[in-house]
Amino acid sequence: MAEVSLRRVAKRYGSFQAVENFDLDIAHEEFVVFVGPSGCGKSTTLRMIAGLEDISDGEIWIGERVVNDLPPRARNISMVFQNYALYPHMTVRQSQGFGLRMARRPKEEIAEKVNRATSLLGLQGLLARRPAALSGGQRQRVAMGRAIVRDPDVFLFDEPLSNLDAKLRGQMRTEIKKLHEKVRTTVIYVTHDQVEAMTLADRIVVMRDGRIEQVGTPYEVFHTPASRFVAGFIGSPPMNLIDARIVGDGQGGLAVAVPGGPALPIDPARFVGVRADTEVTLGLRPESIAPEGMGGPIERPYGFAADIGLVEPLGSEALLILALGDVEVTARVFRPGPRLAPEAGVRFVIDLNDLHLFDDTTGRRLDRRSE
Amino acid sequence: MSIGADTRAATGRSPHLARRRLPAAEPYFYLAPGIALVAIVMLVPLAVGVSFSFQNYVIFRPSARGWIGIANYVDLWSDRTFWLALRNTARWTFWSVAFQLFLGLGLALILNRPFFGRPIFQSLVFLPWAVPTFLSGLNWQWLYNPIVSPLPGWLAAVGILDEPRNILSDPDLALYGPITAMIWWGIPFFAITLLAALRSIPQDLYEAAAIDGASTWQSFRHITVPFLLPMITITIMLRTVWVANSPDLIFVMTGGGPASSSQILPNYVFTTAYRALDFGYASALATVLMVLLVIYSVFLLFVRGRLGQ
Ligand SMILES: Nc1ncnc2c1ncn2[C@@H]1O[C@H](COP(=O)(O)OP(=O)(O)OP(=O)(O)O)[C@@H](O)[C@H]1O
Ligand SMILES: [Mg+2]
Repeated sequence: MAEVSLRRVAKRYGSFQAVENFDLDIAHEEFVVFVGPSGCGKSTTLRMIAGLEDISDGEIWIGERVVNDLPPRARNISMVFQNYALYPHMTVRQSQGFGLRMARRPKEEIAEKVNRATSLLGLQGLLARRPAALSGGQRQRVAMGRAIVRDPDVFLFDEPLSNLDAKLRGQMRTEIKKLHEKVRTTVIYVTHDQVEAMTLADRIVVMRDGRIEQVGTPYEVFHTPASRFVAGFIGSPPMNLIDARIVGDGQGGLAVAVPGGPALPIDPARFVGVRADTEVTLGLRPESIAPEGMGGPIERPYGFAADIGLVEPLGSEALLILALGDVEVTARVFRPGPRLAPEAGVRFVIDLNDLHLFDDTTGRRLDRRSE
Repeated sequence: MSIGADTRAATGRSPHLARRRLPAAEPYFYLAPGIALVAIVMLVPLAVGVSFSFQNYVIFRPSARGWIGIANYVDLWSDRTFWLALRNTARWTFWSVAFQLFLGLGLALILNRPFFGRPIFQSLVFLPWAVPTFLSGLNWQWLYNPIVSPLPGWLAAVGILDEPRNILSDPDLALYGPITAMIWWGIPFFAITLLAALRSIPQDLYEAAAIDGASTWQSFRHITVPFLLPMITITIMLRTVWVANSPDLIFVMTGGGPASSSQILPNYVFTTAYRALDFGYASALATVLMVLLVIYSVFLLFVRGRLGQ
């Protein structure tokens, strides 16, 4: 059993605050993904959990113990590094067994565990090779094997797939997910790729500038982003974020007015704290805007006419760049027909149930669900 | 001018043979000037030197000069000074290189981790290397002089010597004077090369090892040592050849004495050639040293090759 808890953890490099006030409880066997832009402190946090970096403030618990002052080897964790950090002078077999040999385990036990990891990862036939004679994907697998062999309480991954090409990355992503089904352990996985985060995670931790921006399931993070930053970071293509204004709709209700464009009525039951004549950021997912008749099921349609400026066909879907008032927004169409082309005055619908509003100054979500 | 100019039809004969032979020989044409230069600069003097060892070649008896086969080597077999010098060469080289290696490695390990004042300390460590050997020889000669230096007194105080006297005039100990000077002078070479090798070890391997549960000693044993070994063997080889061939510190500090007791082969070669003026015999001595060093180097390179697998 290994829950991992971080209590108000901070990391300072001199006067630079790399991680601050990091509070998180990770359940046993949970797969948690830290995601965020480059330099936001993901690796630093992971390395503090691993014991490779001193903790400036706060406490880290693994299982029943505070591990702040324990060296990495006393924490019973494994880590897969971004560049794999394989021992170049050891064969695959030797490096798989390295941890167990250092712990002076009996030979039969080492052989058995190495064999198990080998068959789990399909490394048969590579055991006598050195890292220099392996492909990138194979090295990645060996690094994972080395981590598995030791039966750790917690697995740490630091961008393990970022050195692979797109296709292999997809395959390995699936494999990691399958592996977690077989080897149930607590996993903390760092990536800056939001697709990896969405597909792998039980829970996603979105980070920004050393702080947690939102913690939630992939569904929550996608459908109710806690802030403008999360909204723009999760989802591909990213959510359209429009500087807009709340206005009265003339019948006692409220609407959000796109500059130079339509005013979209908003549901007063949902956006309770919103008042007229305030600036907000309006968020619209590309998939909740579609030409009439081409969208999926739309709960509360709102129709308007717009000019399609550009079409980006992607095969199974297409991105349309259109003018909504004075702003350009992206719409996403699934199963586009062959004749999609730039065109003026096309009828579009927006799903009014899929509006996101964010406070103009704080960037926080304006929504009853987030309170 | 036409494309068919040198086909069989155009020339009426087969161009195949000439064509095929030329490409095989071609690289050697390009290499020829280089090979010639190496041969002239290195191999010819070597061959001439070795050929002296098969001659009776004493400068002040020019009329007696001539080929005498292996007579010089036969003389050498029964020359007690030769055997003494050979033993001394082994002793001199072994202790010098062994201490340089361990102290140099220690220094490199210390300098590899950051501490306050490291840049200053680092330049101080490398200072002996910049001191001319003759100067350091003279310095150490003075250091062993009980009249001007406290060192003999200290050696007596810790019980190494029975009384504060000059070890350079003791036939049993004289060689250790130049050996300490050589160690002092040569440590920086090991420290520099091993520090460079240490710096080239990727830091994340130590992190991976720490996570794999390795203790400090275990990561030294399983990461640092394997990475350093190729560098260590090549440095040992270079230093051995170098130290074994260096008569200058001994020349300055003891002159090979007292009574040849600190004579090593290069000193003996030098005195034979320039004091006794017997170039033939001196060449035989030098050739023996060279052959021994070549065998040693080949052995070390073989070991290094095995390590690299
Ligand atoms: N040794 C250090 N000294 C000073 N600042 C550091 C040090 N290590 C990291 N930082 C800073 O801490 C911040 C967080 O770094 P970290 O490596 O955790 O980023 P990251 O989220 O992993 O980014 P990436 O996705 O690029 O790997 C960065 O701004 C970085 O410059
Ligand atoms: Mg990182």
